[in-house]
Amino acid sequence: MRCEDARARLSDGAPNEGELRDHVDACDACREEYGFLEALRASRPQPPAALRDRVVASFPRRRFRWAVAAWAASAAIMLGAGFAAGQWLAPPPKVELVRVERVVTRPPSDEEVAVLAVALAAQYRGAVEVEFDGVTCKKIRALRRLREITCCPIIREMERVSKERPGLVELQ
Amino acid sequence: MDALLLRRSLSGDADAFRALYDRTSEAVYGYALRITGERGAAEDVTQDVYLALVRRGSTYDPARPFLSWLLALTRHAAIDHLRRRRVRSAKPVDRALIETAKAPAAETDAGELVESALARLPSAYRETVWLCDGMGLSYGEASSVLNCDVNTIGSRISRGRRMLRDHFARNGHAM
Repeated sequence: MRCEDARARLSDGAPNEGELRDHVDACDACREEYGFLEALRASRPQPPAALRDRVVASFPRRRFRWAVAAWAASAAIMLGAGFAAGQWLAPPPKVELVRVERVVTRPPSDEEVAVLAVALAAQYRGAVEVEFDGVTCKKIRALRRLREITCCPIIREMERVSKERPGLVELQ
Repeated sequence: MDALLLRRSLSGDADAFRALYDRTSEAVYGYALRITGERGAAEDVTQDVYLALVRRGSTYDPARPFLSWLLALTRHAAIDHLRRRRVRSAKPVDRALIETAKAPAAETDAGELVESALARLPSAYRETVWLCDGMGLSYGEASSVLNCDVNTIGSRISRGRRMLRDHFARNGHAM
């Protein structure tokens, strides 16, 4: 091995490889250079302990968290203030009046007719006859003079049903 | 490991920052001292480097060896420091030369012998010899730190060591 090759490989550390080790053992110049490199590696200056305290003390640990917290708090306050201002400054909601022109009613169902028939028979026994097929009322026969009782809601309902369901109510 | 500690430090983890300092401060301080030649200046540079680490650590590319990146940061900080103080990098070496000339008997210790020998080298050779021979960086890593070609590193190592040998031969010491 040439001295140039050996010296180029001495930077890597101790000459543990056989060929390099043999050369260093046999060559005074390379052995001296290896000794110098060992001394160089051993002479690393140590930073003073006080420097560590100084550097660590300068670490801005809290700055990041406080910055985020401050940003979040600012955003929350601005949002809240904006919402409150919006509520305060916004005009009241408009109330629109709707005029009801016509009430559209639907024809009474079989259930409603059955309830009406039962109510009439119970209220005006003897003046009303009802005819059922199962649970469906097929006919209501009432005295004509019952129409004179205008204050009774059952009679008014009978009048409405007679118009909506022609043939169901028969006045006698 | 160092990259992980850096990432945790950037998220505000003081323990990770301390661990990162303990793992790397010897390299940073030692390199800063080789460039500036003064312990006080090396301390200031070391502090600047770790402050820059927190401020600009997000620019670190994990594909690059962390130590090389950190030492490049150290080099820039040291050069800035010297520039701010209007002191050329050769001046600390001159001062070391004078101090060594005044006290030749102090060179008996191997460490002091190395220190005085290094101080005599021009800064480019001193940095290169220190990075490769002192800290064990590969030629590629040293070229990344010094921003120069790998072949330049090889020639600087060769010439730097020769200058050291010549110095010791002139002064009656054997390397």
